[in-house]
Amino acid sequence: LGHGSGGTLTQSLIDEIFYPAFSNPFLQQQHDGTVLPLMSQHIAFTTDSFVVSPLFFPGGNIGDLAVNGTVNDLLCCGATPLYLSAGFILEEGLPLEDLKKIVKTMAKAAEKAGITIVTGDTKVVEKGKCDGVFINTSGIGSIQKNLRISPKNVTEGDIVIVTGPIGEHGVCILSTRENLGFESKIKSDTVALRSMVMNLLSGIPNIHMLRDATRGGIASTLNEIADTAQVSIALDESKIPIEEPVLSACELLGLDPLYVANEGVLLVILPPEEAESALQIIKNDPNGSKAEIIGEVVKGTPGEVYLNTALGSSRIIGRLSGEQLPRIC
Amino acid sequence: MISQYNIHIKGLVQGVGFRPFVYRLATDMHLHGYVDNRNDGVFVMIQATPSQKDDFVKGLTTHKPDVAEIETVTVLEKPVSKPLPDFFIAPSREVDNHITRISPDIAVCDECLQDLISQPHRIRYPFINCTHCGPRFSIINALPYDRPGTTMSVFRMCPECEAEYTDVRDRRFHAQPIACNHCGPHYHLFMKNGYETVDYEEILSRMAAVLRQGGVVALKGLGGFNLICNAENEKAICRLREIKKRYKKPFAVMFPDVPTLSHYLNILPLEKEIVSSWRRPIVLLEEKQKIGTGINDGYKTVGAMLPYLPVHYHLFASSELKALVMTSGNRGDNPILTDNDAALSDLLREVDLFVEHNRDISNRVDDSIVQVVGSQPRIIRRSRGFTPEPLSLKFDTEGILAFGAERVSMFALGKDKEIILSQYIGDLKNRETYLFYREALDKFCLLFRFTPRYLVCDAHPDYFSTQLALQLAQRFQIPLLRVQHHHAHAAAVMAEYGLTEDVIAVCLDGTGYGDDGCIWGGEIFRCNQSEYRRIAHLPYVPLPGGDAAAKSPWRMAVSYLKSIYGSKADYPETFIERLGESHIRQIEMLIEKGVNTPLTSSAGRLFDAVASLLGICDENTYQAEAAALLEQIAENGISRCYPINSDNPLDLRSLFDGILKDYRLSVPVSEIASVFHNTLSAMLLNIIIQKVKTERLTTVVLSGGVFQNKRLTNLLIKQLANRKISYYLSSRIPCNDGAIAVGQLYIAALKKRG
Ligand SMILES: [Fe+3]
Ligand SMILES: [Mg+2]
Ligand SMILES: [Zn+2]
Ligand SMILES: [Zn+2]
Repeated sequence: LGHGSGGTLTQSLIDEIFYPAFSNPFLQQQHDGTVLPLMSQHIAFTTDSFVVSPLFFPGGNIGDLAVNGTVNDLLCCGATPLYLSAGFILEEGLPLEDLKKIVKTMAKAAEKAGITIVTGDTKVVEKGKCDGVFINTSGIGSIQKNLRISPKNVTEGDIVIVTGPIGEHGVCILSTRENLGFESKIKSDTVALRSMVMNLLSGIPNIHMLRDATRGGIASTLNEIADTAQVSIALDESKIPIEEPVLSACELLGLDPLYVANEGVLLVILPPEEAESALQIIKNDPNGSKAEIIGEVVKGTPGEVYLNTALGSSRIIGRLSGEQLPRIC
Repeated sequence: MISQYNIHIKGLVQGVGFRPFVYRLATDMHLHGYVDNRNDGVFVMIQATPSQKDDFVKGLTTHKPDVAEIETVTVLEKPVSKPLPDFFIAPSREVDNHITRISPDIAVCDECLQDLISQPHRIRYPFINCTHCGPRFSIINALPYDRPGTTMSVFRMCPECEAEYTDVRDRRFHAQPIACNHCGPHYHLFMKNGYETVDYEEILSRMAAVLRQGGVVALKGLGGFNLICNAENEKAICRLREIKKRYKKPFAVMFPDVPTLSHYLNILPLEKEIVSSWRRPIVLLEEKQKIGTGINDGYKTVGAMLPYLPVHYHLFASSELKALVMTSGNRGDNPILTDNDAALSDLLREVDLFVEHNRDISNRVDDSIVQVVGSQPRIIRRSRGFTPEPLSLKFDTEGILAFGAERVSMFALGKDKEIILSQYIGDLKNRETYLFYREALDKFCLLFRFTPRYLVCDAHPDYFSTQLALQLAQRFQIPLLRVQHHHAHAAAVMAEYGLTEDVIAVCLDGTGYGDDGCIWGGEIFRCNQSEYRRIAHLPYVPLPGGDAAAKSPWRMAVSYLKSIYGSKADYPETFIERLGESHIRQIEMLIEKGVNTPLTSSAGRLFDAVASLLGICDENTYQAEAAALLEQIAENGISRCYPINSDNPLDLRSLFDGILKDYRLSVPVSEIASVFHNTLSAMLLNIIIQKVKTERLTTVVLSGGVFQNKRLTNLLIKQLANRKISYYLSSRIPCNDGAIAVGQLYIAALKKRG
């Protein structure tokens, strides 16, 4: 890929790569913006930028990651994903083949997630100004009126469900980037959880909170929720699903899997009487077969998350300022 | 010629029966005047002749209650203003927020032990106490220190006790926890089968029987529950370890008396004095004869203590056992249990007998631990018998709250010109411990009428103590100072000795967050109370896997070898056999790729590496296990050293050359361990000599948990003394992270003063 001055090169990229891949009537409008029909009073609107390195990893690439991430964010708002924008920043010298692969994966992911890519943008920057490809996606979804999913609804007694084994994406990315050798066993879990969430929302209208546990893992996500809702959350160590390869990789790396990123794992918080049926709905979904009830919202210090360990004591799961820093004296 | 003498006595003189003692002394001498509790000590006025005054002042120190500690006596002579008809105890003045002296808990005194046999209403009464002994800090809820402010408030004194309580000539005059068989607390036994009894003699004989048969007893003590078993019964110890989920860390042992103790352990006069002092700490002593398998495997020392509660004496007498394991009643790393209901539900199903009592514990206190190093007592864990005795400074500390560290957490508050250090709390990542920390903090603020106005915490961003400090600073809009961990270590020693000048500080410990984002722990600073400069440090090596490396000493062995020898790292065969080529390779890979592998200059990790290379310990199951085992295995009488690079004394290459070579030549591990200590000590001595010269300083401060290592410390201080270099090493404050709050506070006090 050469560095274009914004003229013919970019146009040819659009014509040869993006249009064919994403082709749909909205995109055909060929305008400064896309005009979209909406069928609900409320919409959810979200945006996210993806700068993952490496671009390709077991289980996916930056393309489906960018689609799934934004779709999951919409779903967590209780929205039906509808439209997606895609902005690309491409580094000079990026192999065209790579771009094609990424775009193709995106198209497939969007189709699978039932979202339409309706607008986009591309910029090519000088070598060294970005890392291969950066993608920004923004998404719009429609919301049924009476759903109110918000951390503020989380109250004492609520149950916390995790929809799948944790830590796979983060460990996979680290391992692939540094060539640590776990890639063969650990794939990124990137996936859009549309069917799972749609079924949950229609089956259990009074879900209090949905959240995808991406950066910072379930630990950071739960801390944010506990903080906003001013509640305490107790987790049961023995219930948290982690696949053996992830566990042993984390052991070697000295990482606490609770803080490792996921890309296809949601935290679901809901009243206790709904917990079992919600768990069944999740488990019936192909992406939720390993879901578990991992904890509950309890009386305690507001904002505190802790883990009841297998040894019978409990450990505070704090917020981290950044990396997992050594602290053992 | 009669004058009026105003006598001011400072020290530990409140809550220990000092005023009645003064009363008795004065009235025995037929002196007139009065005695009075003041903010900062006891005030006595006597009208006497100069020679009577001299006798009186002499009597103060020679006849004082054992527990009382007199720091200073100042006498001011005045003309008699108004002759007084007698001597009396003036009522304590309600002085604003200043009644801050609370005595630590005191072991039962000899007179009370005598009363157990002779006083009709206290025959074998296990909660006996007097103004010279008994619970203090552990039972106090609020100030002033009198009965309603303690957990004894629910017990109504019987007429007999009340008479003693109000008789100024009685040893129980104003003994707040006074009690007897008719009116005081009692023990209560529970068994798994539902059987209960409150009959003390039955409880004793059942406990004795269970202990003799190798069972485990849970017994509520002074500052928390204890788990007890026969120290000479291997099976009992195994079971106790299973219950506590504490598989390796040595247990402390209680002996009935010094002669029995001396049968098993070597004890020096100073150690004897400490172990039998009213504080009754655990003292680390050298084993003479093995007590029991499983108590202290891998160790030559035992933590020994003597009975401090009447029930301990009775238990030894009825069981006729010679040594009891006496450990904190808790599971895993939870804090010691204090609450009856919680303990009952946690422990009853685990033990053979559960015995509680109905005197509530208001402040949790663990057993304190002391060792003698360089003919000084050095505290390792400061709690029962010491807390909340303050440390006096020469300048104002009021309003400063210091949050301490994390793994061995203690906080401290500044009151007037004093530093009041909390009891030992523990590892804050444990939730129960963190709650204990919060509760204790609230309690101290209440007890000492303390309002925080200036906060100080560690520089580590993720310590729970740091996060709490940040929260509170924001909520109350008060300033917060963050202090580098090792500067705090050094400052703690400076605080204890009141040093304000520039010093060379040698800070050796496990982990501290460094200014450069690396993990420090083998630091030489030039510092004073306000600033520090890092003038040398142990070489940086990778810490592969961060905290995982602190748990797994073998990772550090790989790290050092790889750092020093690169791809030519030649691991001992036994090391490869134990850990497996592929595991070693994985750690090498982590180091090569730098994944979650910060750099560290930690001295603790150096001990870890050496311990693992020598096959002594590859995994730490408790803090500093590898380092402790390496010290313990080291043999006496070996003086050789590995070569030292005099240009760069902290260079580790020849140290590792030597260790690996010796190990290959099958030199006994005990000898290599010894040579390692010698070499490290010599390296430190070299760098100190160098820095003392270049920095033109004369004073050296030694601090950090590594100085709990008696062998290293003794070697180094002997050499320093030989070279006439003056050194300071903490004595009343721990050298481990229990000191951090003190150091933080000392630094903040200067900053605050401006
Ligand atoms: Fe430290
Ligand atoms: Mg997102
Ligand atoms: Zn007594
Ligand atoms: Zn009585």
